[in-house]
Amino acid sequence: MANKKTPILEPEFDRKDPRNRCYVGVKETAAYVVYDMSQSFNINKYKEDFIKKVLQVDMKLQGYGKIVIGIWDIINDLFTGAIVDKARSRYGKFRPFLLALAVPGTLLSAFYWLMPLFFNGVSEKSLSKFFTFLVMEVILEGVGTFQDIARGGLLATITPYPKDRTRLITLANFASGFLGEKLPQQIFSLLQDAFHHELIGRVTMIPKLYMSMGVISVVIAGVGAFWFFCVSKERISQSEVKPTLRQSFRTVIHNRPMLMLALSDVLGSFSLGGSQHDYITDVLDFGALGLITGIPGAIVHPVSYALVPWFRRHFSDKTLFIMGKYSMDVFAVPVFIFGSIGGKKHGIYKKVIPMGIALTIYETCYMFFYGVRNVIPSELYNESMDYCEWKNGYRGEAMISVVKGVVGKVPKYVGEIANKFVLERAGYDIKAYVEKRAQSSETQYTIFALWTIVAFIVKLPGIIPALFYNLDEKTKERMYAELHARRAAMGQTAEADE
Amino acid sequence: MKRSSCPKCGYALRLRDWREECPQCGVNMTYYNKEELLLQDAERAEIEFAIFQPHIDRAKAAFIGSPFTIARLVCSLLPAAALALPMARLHYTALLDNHSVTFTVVQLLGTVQYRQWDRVFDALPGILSIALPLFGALLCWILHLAGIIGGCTKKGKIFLFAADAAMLVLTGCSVWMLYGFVGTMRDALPQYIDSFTVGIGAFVFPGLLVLCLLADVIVAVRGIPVQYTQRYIADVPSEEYFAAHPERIA
Repeated sequence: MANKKTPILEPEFDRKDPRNRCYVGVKETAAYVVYDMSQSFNINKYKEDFIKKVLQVDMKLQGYGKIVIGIWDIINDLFTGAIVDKARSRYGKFRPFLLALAVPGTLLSAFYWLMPLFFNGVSEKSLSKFFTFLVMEVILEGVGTFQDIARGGLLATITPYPKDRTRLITLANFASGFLGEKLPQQIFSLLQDAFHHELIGRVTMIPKLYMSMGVISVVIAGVGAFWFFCVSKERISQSEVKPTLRQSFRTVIHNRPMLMLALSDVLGSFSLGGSQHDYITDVLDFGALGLITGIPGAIVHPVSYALVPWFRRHFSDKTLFIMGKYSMDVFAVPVFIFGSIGGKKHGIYKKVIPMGIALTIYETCYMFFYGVRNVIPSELYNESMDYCEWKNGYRGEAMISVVKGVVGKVPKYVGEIANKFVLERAGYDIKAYVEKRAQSSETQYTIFALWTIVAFIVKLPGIIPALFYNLDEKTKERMYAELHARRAAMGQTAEADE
Repeated sequence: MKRSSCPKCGYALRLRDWREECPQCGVNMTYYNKEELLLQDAERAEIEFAIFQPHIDRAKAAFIGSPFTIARLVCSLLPAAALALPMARLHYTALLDNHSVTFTVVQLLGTVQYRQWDRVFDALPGILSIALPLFGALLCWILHLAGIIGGCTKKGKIFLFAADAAMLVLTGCSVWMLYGFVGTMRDALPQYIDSFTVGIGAFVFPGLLVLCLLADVIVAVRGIPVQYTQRYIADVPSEEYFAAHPERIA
């Protein structure tokens, strides 16, 4: 009956041990969940479509733009990381940047989605349109870099011990789905299809859909994230001695766990930019198919988080990292084989119903690894930060994340640039979608192959460095015991000095 | 808003005092008394969770606390399936050609496109009289889904039953208006309309809402067993802690 008190008792452990305590309260945890939701509360998945089909920037110009943005991305990462790593204030190391950039970042992002208003009817080869687009991308890239580095650092320092951190990461990943983190994408894909097939409205309303959904989602996400930045605290003190740029670079090279994760990211990031979304809109012409095929996966999604403890009991963190990272690409291979039956012109890959079934099975299978995919990499990244503090006496979240980001971005940009030229070579027609024409068979098969078999082959080498990750349970036990003692000593030294 | 102060000398810090060192005594505020402040944070966080945990346990029980609550959850989600079913089917002849239209809930709610139908049938007021109550019913259904969270409490149950009642009344109005509209159109334009019939969705959608109500009644009668998680503040069970420190609950 209701209200019967049958308490659930947790397994016995030392609750007074600081490592087993909870530091992040209810309000801050709720804000963290809202923040996690806000990171996916957008339609950035459709950004490439927006540039191709709504803003209509020529594919070659996009390719050249990607080169400029890629170089700028790498340059600004370096000085941003140095600036952030040297920052110290009573508000924390990372929070000042997040608070200062929250409002400008949101306004600039909103303006980005409104660009088609200013270039309505302008040719895709127009240089004024291209340069405006490029300038916006460069500014947003700069602001985004500060925000990304500061965010990563804040999440690494929000609580001093891994048990509390795992609780936060797992809860945030689990609960943010129920808050509707994917709602803008889901609503957008439904409406896009409805407009495209003129079930509701007309196909000419699609640009307005992009603009309105883009702006609304950016503003809501911005408000949610700003709340989190206001209520959160950094609970790990930074060293008084600020690391030099050279020291920061060395920490990555000599920080073996971080080095292996970075190398795995680099080698696993090579792709030619193919995506499932491109396939279902440009080949199957059914943008909402992703919603339908994702229904069984949505049921498995919460179960996947409940499976994380089971996975951790039976597999090492290293194995789980590999399983989570590559499950999507491995399961895409049978999808490619099945879709290729019948060849390029008459293959099954062009048919909605059989491919819908294949995609449903594919998404359901990889959803079982979704919890592991989201929780384990964050855990390993944060542990490698603690490893850096243990080995070097200082934390270098910003520069470590910069160096890791820089080396990971090179293959990512190479892939995205190559994608533009590959699609152009395959005869991609940027006006086909809004004019309701199908792409050629050659283009369609290229799009299909890019997100399935090509993605699997080019990303496979990323498994090798992950096999050399060396933080096992014994080392972690020793590391956290020594860190706890050292952090306590830092506080006592500050009191004694006075 | 309470201003921050230096943990050593108590100096009231201003917003522009951004440095780590206190402007008055010079102590590094991020290190001073760090361990003590962390322990205070831990105690505060554990108190907050000890107070909040029963709400989480009740919400969890309301969703998956027993086979009946799980069945109720499934029944509550089923009306979504009816959104794609046809509410009405129309076959008409216009401009020397035969046309057929199937009205689903989604299309009825998207009546904005029917401005083009006005030219032929002047049907928009009639369609709106069906769509608006239906929109209200869908809102109530969403409120019902959200209301399940409070299903273990008395107020939560009242809210749930109120949402169920509103859903059924509004859906009933919508279906009634649909019947009336279909009959009116058939009588008004016999020369154009070949057939205009009420579809299966007009029966299935209200039927599934009735199922939601029945599920709520069964769960209310059987009750929901709630398993409360024991929380601790440091090593002390929360009940003992609050008995010893009643001021901390505030």
